[in-house]
Amino acid sequence: MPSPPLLEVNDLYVRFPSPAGPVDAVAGVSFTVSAGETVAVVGESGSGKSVMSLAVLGLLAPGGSAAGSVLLRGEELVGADAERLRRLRGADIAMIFQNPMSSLDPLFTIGDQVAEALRAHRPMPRRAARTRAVELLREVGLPDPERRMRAYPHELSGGQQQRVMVAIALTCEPALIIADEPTTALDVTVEAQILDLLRRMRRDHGTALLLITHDMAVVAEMADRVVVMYAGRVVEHGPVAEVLRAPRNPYTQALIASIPTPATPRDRPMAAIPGSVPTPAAAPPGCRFHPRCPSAQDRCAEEEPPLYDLGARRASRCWLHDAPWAGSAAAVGGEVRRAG
Amino acid sequence: MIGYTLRRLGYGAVVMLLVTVFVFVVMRLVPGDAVSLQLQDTGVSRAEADALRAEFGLDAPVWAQLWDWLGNAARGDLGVSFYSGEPVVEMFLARVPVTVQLGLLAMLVGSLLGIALGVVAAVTRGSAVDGAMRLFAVAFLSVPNFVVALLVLTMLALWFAWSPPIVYAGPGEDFAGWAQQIAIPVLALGTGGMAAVARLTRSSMLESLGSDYIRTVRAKGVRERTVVVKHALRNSTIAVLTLLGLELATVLGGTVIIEQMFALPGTGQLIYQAVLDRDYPVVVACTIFYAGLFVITIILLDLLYALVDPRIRTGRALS
Repeated sequence: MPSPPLLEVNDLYVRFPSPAGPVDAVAGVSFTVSAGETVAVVGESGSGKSVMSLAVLGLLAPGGSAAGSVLLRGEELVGADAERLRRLRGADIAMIFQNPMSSLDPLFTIGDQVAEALRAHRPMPRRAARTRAVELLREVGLPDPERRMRAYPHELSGGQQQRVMVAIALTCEPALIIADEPTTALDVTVEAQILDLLRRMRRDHGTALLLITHDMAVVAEMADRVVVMYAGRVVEHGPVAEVLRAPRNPYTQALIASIPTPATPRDRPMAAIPGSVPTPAAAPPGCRFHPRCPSAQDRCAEEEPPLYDLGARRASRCWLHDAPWAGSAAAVGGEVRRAG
Repeated sequence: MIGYTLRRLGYGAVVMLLVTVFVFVVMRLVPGDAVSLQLQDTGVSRAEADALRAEFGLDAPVWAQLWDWLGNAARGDLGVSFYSGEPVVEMFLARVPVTVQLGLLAMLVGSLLGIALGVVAAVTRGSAVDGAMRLFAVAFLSVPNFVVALLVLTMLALWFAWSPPIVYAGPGEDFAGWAQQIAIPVLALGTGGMAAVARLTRSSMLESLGSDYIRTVRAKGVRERTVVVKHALRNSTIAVLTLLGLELATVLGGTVIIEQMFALPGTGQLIYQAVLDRDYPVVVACTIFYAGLFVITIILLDLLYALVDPRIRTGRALS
């Protein structure tokens, strides 16, 4: 048996109140992240991936509540007391957010905000914290870090702000960094730089990375394993190379088909999945993807498929993997399928 | 920052000049002057009245009076009261402290209590405390300050057979007496502002607490108290500062009625009587005082914005 994973999410539910009664933005998500591993959680907007990552840190918006289990090195985080979660945030699990432009407090200098993250966990003199902050800013490649310490967020570009966010995440050398769409708000060239920075951090510090994204190209470039989410559910997971080469779930297939490549003819419209992700309150009965699924069967509208263990650390949630449809499942790639 | 300050001061000076000219002219357009009001039932002859007008300088054209007044004012002479003959500057200086005490205390009560209540309400959002706070806020916002004052006075008199002393004594002479006398006026003037400040603080705190940067601060593992006080409150300050500026106008206007009600010898009482008497020099001086107090506060608030918000300091919001 290998050592227990760093992070183990088990049957996690996140529930929000709504006028029509409580709805589950995340419904029974399970996955693991091992030390030093990069796991990408991918899905369209509204799939529940961001909410899921906030639930891990206990940072859900007021009203939201988590159920199920999130184990960090075997310690239960769901329902843990607020002070314990606070001590853990930033120190064991750090987070990088989607919008660097709005994620830094506009009224405090960069130096203050990096030093604050340090001093939240390690009581140290102000001067020592500032010295360490300069080192961190240099490490994330912020030009002229001594001067940038005194700068305010609005004086930095989006890419520089995201570098500062990475520096803040690194302050306490966390075992896991959750990056929620860290490059979505950035230009393509800056995106490449930030991804590069994240890769370097992972290599130099052995940090595990839980990367939330909707971009399959980012997944291919960064992750070891991928978890595909749809409408609050995990629909497929497995090693990145295999999932990208031979996706088993129709949703994953559609996602991958919608990535434009240089070979995509320019005169053809880009492939897109028709329709959009249902809101948690309006999740259809049966398989949540069936209204948009090209391979939908009658059964898909009635009964939700389980997550089938496909072997080789892969799983997919689709009736195509069930024996009665063995014939049509061949269209999906047809390999071993075991109910489970 | 220096340019910013100088520009604010410049605007302030222009406003003061405009206010002076406006009040000077408007007071003289009001029917009836000091002479006709003073002499209306005494049966003096027209010639005698005209002589008196000439003595006050009221026979000259308005623009000439204004020019004279400005010249004297520049030398620190604001004229004499048409009634008592006292120099306006002296009358005035004797009364300023009362109004300043009253206004300052009312603003302090309003802002400090208001901010504290707003923060508590925001942090305990949806709780009974929050609900009660909102109810009281609406009540205090809706009831005019003089009604609050009357209610408090009446209740104290009915239930405890107590009423504040009538003859004013400064805090230096008789602190206990002064405190009893000024407490109700301060509360009456401050509660409206307190309710407004509490409501605004609550809503801007909630906005701030739900923001991305607060999420970052929480993700860093910073203590919740620091999150609320250092980050959320400071980010809410800007909106609240704006409101405090407006609130000052309400409080200053309120002093006119409240000083009258509580027999407080401040500028509010002075201006009230002076307007009734058409005592031009006193009215003009008092108006300039109120305008000046307001302009200075607005300038201070502008400087405070810049102090709180670096985005204003570096000039982006200056244009």
